[in-house]
Amino acid sequence: MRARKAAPYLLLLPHILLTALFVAGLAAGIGQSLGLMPALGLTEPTLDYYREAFTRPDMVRAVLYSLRTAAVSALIATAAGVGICAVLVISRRTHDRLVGLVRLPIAVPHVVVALLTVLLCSQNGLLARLACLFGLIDEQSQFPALLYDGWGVGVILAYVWKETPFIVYFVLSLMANIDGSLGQTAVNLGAGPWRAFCRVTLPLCRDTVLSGFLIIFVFALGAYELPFLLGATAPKALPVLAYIEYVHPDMHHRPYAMALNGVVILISVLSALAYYALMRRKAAALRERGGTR
Amino acid sequence: MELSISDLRVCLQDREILHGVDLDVADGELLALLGQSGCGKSTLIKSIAGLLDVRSGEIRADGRSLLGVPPERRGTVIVFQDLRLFPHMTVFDNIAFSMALKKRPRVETAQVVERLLEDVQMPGYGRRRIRELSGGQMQRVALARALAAEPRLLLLDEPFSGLNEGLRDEMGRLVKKLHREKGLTTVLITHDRQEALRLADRVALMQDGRILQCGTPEEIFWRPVSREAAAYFGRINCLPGRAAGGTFSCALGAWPCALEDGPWTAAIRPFDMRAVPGGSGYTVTGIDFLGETAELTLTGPAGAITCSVTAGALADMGLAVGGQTGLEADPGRAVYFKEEART
Repeated sequence: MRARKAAPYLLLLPHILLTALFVAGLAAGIGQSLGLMPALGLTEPTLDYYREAFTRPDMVRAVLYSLRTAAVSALIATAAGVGICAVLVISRRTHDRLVGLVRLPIAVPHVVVALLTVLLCSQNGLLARLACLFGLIDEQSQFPALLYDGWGVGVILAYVWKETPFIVYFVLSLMANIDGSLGQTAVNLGAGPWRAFCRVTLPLCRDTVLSGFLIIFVFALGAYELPFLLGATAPKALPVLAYIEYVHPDMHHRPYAMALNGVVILISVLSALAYYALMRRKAAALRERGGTR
Repeated sequence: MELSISDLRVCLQDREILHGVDLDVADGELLALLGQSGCGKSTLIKSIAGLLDVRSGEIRADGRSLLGVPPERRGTVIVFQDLRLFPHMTVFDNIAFSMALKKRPRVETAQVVERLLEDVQMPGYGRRRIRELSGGQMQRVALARALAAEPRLLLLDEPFSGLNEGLRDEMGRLVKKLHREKGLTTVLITHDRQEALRLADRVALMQDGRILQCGTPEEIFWRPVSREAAAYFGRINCLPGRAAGGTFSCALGAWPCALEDGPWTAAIRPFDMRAVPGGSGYTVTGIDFLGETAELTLTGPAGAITCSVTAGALADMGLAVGGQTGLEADPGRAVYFKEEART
C-alpha cells in the first residue's frame, strides 16, 4: 500500500532531479553574474558585470545580431515547416515514409550541420562548384559569401535546415487531425482544399505554430555552436561572446561571461512567458473545441 | 436532386466496408438510412459527398456521374454526427461560411443568415461564440450552416444522437419541416428505428455494408424481406412449419396460405400473438412490465413465444409467472420466409 502511494513520486524522481540540477546551475550562474564567486575571493554582490556588459561597445550589435539570426531563421523555418505540413496534409500523405525523411535532420548534431553548411555553401563548397560547372559564375570566388558574413546568412541557412523538420514534427499531427475533421467539413461546405486549409485548419493550428516558432527562436538565441562555427568575426552573437569570456584563462572573466548569459536568459525568459501565455490560451481553446462535440 | 447508387464498393485501410450498395433517392425525398453502428452508413454518405475514395460502382446525381467531381463541387452537404462547428468563428460566421466562399454581398449574407437562424428558431444568436451554445443549439447551427450552403442533397449523419429524447423529437420535427418547406432531397442516417419510421418517406435498412431492404416505413415494417430485416424492428416470433395444398401448418396450428409447398417459417410480431386466459398448453415463464405495455414469454409446443399485451389487458387477464394460458396468432399478419428443403 505504502509502495503504491510512493510510486508516483518515484516515477517523478528523475524529472525532479534534472529540474533541481537545472535550477541549481541557473542559480549558480546568476550568482556568478552578480559577482559571487567565493573561490576567487568575490563575496560581495555587484551589478558591475552587468553594467560592463551593457556598456560594451559591441553589445548592441551582438544583441541585434543574435536576435536577427534567431528571428529570421525561426521565421523562415516556421514558414517552410508549415508549408511542408500543408502540402502533406492536403495531399493526405501524413503517414508516408517521406515524412520520416523530412524529420531526419532533427537527429543530426549542430556541429555536423555546420560542417555540411560549409561543404555546401562556402565559396569552395558544392553549390559554388556546381554554379561554376553550369556556367552561372566564372570563378568560385564569385559565389556569394554566405558564410562568416555580418548578416549571418550561413548561420540562418544552417538553422533553417535544422529547425524546419522540427516544426513539421511539432505541428503535423495536430494539423492532420484538424484538417481531417474541420478541414474536411469546410471542403464539404464548398471550400477547395487550400481555402479550407487557410480558413479553417491553419487558424486553428496558429497557437501550436507560434509555440513551435518560440521554441526554435529561443533555442537559436541561446545556442553558440552555429554562430561560433559559421558566424563573422564581428559582430559576434551573444552566446559566442559569453563563451569566449567563459573559456578565458583568467577566471575573473567568469562573472562577466555569466552576466552576458544573464542577458540571454532575460530574453529567453520573456519568450518563455509568451510561450506560457500561448499554451494557456491553447488549453482553453482545446477545452472549447471539446465542447463542440 | 435525384440520386442513384449502383454496386458501390468502398474500402477503408484495405478493408471493404461497402459491398456493392444499390440505392435510389427520388428528388425531394427524405430517405432514412437505418442500421447498427459500424454497418457502413457514414461511409456511404461520405462516399456520396466525395470525402472517401470509391473502389468501384457508380454514384449519379440527376443522371450525371459524381465520381471524379471534387467534393466541394458536388452540392452534397453533410451535417456530421459530431457537428464540427468551427470553434474560432461566431455563429454568424459559421453559417455564412459557404456564402463567404461564394463571395456573396455582405448585406445579402446577413439577411440569409438571419432568416436561417429564424428557421432553426435561434433568432439573434449570430454574435454568439460556439462555446456559449447548448448541445441543442449547436445542432441547430450545424443544420443552418448546411442549409446556407444550398445543398442539392442534404446528408444528416445521426445529428441528433447526442440529444435527450425531447430535443431529438423537436429536432426531428424541425428537420422534416425544413425538408418539406425547402423541397430538399435528404438522407438521414439513424440507428433509431422509431425516428426512421416517423420521419422518412422511405427507409433503407443497412447491414454489414449492404442494403437489406428499402421501402416505405409501412412496407419495411409489415413486409420485411428477411429475418434480419424483420428482427431490426423489434422482437419477432419465428414458427417453423410446412405449406402443403394451400395450408400452412406449424406448432401453433394450421391456417390457409398462398405459399408453394415446402418448408417455411412464419414470422409473427409479439402484438399479433394473443394469450388466451383460461386456455392451456402454454406456461407463462416471464413477464416484462414496460409501462404502457408488457411482454409475456409463453413456453409450450411452439417453443418460447413472446406475446405483447397492454398493461391494462395484463391486469385483466390476471396472469402470473408459472400460470397456464392458451395462445393464438393472427395468421393474416404473418410474414413467411422460405427454408431450404431438407433432403
